[in-house]
Amino acid sequence: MLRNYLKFALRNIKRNKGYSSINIAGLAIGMACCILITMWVLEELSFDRYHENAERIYRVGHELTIGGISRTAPLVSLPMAPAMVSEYPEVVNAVRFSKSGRTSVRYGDKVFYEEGILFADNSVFDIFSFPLVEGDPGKALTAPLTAVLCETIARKYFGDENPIGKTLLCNDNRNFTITGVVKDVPRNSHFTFDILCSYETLVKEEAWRSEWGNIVDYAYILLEKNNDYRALEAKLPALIDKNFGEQLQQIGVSIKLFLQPLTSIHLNSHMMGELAGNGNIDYVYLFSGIAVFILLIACVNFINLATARALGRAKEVGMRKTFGAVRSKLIRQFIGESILFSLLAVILALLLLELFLPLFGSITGRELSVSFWQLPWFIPGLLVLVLLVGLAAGSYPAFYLSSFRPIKVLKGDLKSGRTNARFRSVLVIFQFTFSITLIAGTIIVYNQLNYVRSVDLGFQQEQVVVIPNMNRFRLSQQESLKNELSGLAGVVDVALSSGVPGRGGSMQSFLPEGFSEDQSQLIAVMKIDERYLPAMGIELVSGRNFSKAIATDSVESVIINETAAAKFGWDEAIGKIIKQTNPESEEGGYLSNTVIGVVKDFHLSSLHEPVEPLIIVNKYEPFLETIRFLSIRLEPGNIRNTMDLIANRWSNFNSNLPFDYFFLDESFAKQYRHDEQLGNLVLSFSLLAVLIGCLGLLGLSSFTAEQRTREIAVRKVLGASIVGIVRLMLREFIFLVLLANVFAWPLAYLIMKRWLESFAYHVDIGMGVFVLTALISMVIAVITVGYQAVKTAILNPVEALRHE
Amino acid sequence: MIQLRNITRYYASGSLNTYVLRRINLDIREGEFVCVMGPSGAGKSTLLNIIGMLDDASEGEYHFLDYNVHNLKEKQRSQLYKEYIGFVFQSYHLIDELTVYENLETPLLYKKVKSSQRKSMVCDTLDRFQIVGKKDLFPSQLSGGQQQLVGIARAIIAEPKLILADEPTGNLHSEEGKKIMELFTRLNEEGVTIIQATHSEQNASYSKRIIYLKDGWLVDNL
Ligand SMILES: Nc1ncnc2c1ncn2[C@@H]1O[C@H](COP(=O)(O)OP(=O)(O)O)[C@@H](O)[C@H]1O
Ligand SMILES: [Mg+2]
Repeated sequence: MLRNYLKFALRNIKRNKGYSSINIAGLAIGMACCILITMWVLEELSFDRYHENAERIYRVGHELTIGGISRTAPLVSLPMAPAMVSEYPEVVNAVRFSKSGRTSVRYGDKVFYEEGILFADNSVFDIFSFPLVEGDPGKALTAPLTAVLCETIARKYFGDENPIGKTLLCNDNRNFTITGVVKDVPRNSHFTFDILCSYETLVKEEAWRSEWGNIVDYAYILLEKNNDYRALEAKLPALIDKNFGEQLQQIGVSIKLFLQPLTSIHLNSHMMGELAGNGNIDYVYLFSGIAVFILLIACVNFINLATARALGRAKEVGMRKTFGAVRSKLIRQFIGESILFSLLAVILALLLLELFLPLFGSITGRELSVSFWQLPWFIPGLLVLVLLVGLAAGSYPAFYLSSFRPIKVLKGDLKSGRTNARFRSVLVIFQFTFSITLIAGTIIVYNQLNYVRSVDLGFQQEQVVVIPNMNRFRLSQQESLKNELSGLAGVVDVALSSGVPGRGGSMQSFLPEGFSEDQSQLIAVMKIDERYLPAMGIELVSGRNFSKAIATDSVESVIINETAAAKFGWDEAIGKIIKQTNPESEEGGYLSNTVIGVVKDFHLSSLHEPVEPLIIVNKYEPFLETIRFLSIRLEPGNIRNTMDLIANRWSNFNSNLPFDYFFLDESFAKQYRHDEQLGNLVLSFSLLAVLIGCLGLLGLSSFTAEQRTREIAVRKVLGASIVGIVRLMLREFIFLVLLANVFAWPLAYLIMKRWLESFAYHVDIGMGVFVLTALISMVIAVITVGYQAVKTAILNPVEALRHE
Repeated sequence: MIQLRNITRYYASGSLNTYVLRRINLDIREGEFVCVMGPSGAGKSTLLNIIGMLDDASEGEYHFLDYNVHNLKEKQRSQLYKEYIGFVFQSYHLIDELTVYENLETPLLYKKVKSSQRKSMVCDTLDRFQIVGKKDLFPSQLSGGQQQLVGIARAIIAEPKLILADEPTGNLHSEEGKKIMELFTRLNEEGVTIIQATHSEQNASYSKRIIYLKDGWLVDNL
């Protein structure tokens, strides 16, 4: 019986090639999207779960409140984690990490810049599951100046040599002895590293870290099994109180520690200072939703076409019933057929995936490189998908088709019922509502990205080359490089700074004039030389720039931005005093700074963040803030030539280190990488959703055209024009698409408003977006349906009528 | 075998009922060859459909064998189709997607006949109707007469006790019609009960009993 059904179904598929290919293609595209998104979602959900202790590991972070404003960061100070281990028996172990910036790493004559260097306690191997290939996990990182390399990095520096015992020179000042090689960190980790250096190095060499108040490192603790971390969290205020509560009280700061379960960090933690850019649970929901809906659209196609074509099957159903087939048997037959469709579709979907996986990788910036066949759940998962889709798509048609009574078939009074036509309309509206929502979403995302790229940032970001890592040179060296570069042809200006837009920057606590001692404010600080503001085109709204000629500028003058002036409530900021605790003074004395100028607000961070109050200082030595960047403004045109000159000067200046630089505008734009990827993804999926929907519409319209051939012929004989007939045939579909627009607009508005709110500065969703969406969807529908309509309309009526 | 008591069939059209069959009383015994005659629209097809349980009477009682048809569930009807009834239609109603062979095989599938036996039954039937050469053709590749031949073969392959044929020769020319009628006569001689609707006197002459319908009334029951 099964074999007969199979043969029959396959023959049916072959006979109705158009119908079958539309159905299979639609289902396949939907399934491919669904599989792709599922793989992505599963990967997002799998982050950090590969650690054996995943459920027992927590990251310690802190919330700092000062002047009524709170900030959270995933950071702690050096003594905090060890204190937790000794104080609370449920804390079994702890590991501290410290992130090292871009660092030059040298072995013999090989030298590279490395971004992925972490300092770590040896307990990292006990707490996390980072298996060592070489070396002793019990003591690899216990001594200062030891390091463990990832396999890839070990090969990069040492090739086939055994790296154990060899040394790497970091930033030309520290020699690390290699004590181990660790397996590369899996991609689904919220932090990764290429090189682990022993945290003991920092303990020994950087005494300032041991202060409780120097909160610059990361710490993860391992709890006992089945321990409620909330209970531990509740005990932590006591720890802070005991160890530096008094100090904090003095400066009007309160600090609260909190714990984050390791497995929730990747999707739910978005603080300043994360170890790496995390994922976003909203996107997981969003794309899961998209996957489900795209699959539904494909199923709807199947349902629509199957019911529209039901008449073609009516005779068969009637006859089978006269042979004694019961309805349940017919239902099974039809569902079996749809599962067969689904099976063929999944095969095509896998082919599509193979073809388009690299493309998806380049769109998302994340390769789904796992060969999915190897995943244990993949085949069973696919079978479940096949069954689900087969049932979702096939159930309604099966019930509908199997309901035909033989008597109706025999009497030939099977008109495709009005109710069914209405049902199909509802389904078409559903499909288009979803596609149109995606189209509107795409337009809004691109509008915002366009806005973000074209908005006035308050500085001129083009044609600026930045050389990082200036902090490794002495002041005099920085100055001489600066002078040398200023003289080059094609160089407009050269300036030094502690941070550049999009990178760097730190916060310090200040006491502006008019605020009482317990109201100190945490404010961003930037250190610049006197060339920085003009070089970057940052405008002064009042006062003056720093000047070399005025000796006090490098000691006690500051410039603030408009937001700072507004926050401090100053109408006239020039001459106001901003005090700051003197880190050199033991008993909490103050340093005074005088405001000499106010700059127009400029964006130091992406447009996701509002412009924050900013205090700009000149070379003020007691600050921790150090010069790290050299920015060079170039003349437009012939940039390559100028770059060659600069590179040349660099090698004279320091022949040891390769010339390392970035363009300011590119670096700033990188902050929107995730937004751009989102835009590309939404665009891709809306294209696919539209494609699937159009396939359905095409099938449906050719079916109605076929049904109406005679009616159209009669109308033509009666004098209807071709245009009139095309319009007649388009009318009902256009109406459906318009209606879908009406449903889609509020939906898109609500979803996209939420996304836009992640930007401090964003476009408004205007009517224009929706008008454009309506136009696009209309054009798509007219093109899809129009072809059939025109074909039917120009048919010679005599021919159509002769068939009768 | 078949007992119709006061069978009435009407269609509600507006507030009026259109009567198609009026108080039909009819008994048909096993082995009979009955012909239902009457002008077009007289209700012949309706009567056959009711006898074949494809349609329900509006009023009256119908007993088929020992079953009160009115009370039968769908499953039981399907069971009766499988066991006792073969249908032949004016427009053949072969399944277009199936070959001649497969069309013949299909009723056996629902009867759960075993594969090997199915094969021999289909082959026997093909032989008997002399259409072995056509077994791999699709209905669209056959002439009308050949299609009806297959239709009849399909109706009898499951060895029904009753064949209901609604104008089986309506779409055929007289030569082909004659062949079909001879076939029915032979089947009847083998013991199969046959009820056919027709308005051709020539066809009627093959049957042993003729029933006349006019405006829904059974006017003559010979
Ligand atoms: N669904 C219906 N509604 C109303 N009248 C119907 C319906 N179906 C059939 N009829 C009427 O029933 C009458 C008998 O039809 P039928 O049994 O097919 O006649 P015959 O087969 O003798 O030509 C016809 O007049 C037809 O118009
Ligand atoms: Mg009739």
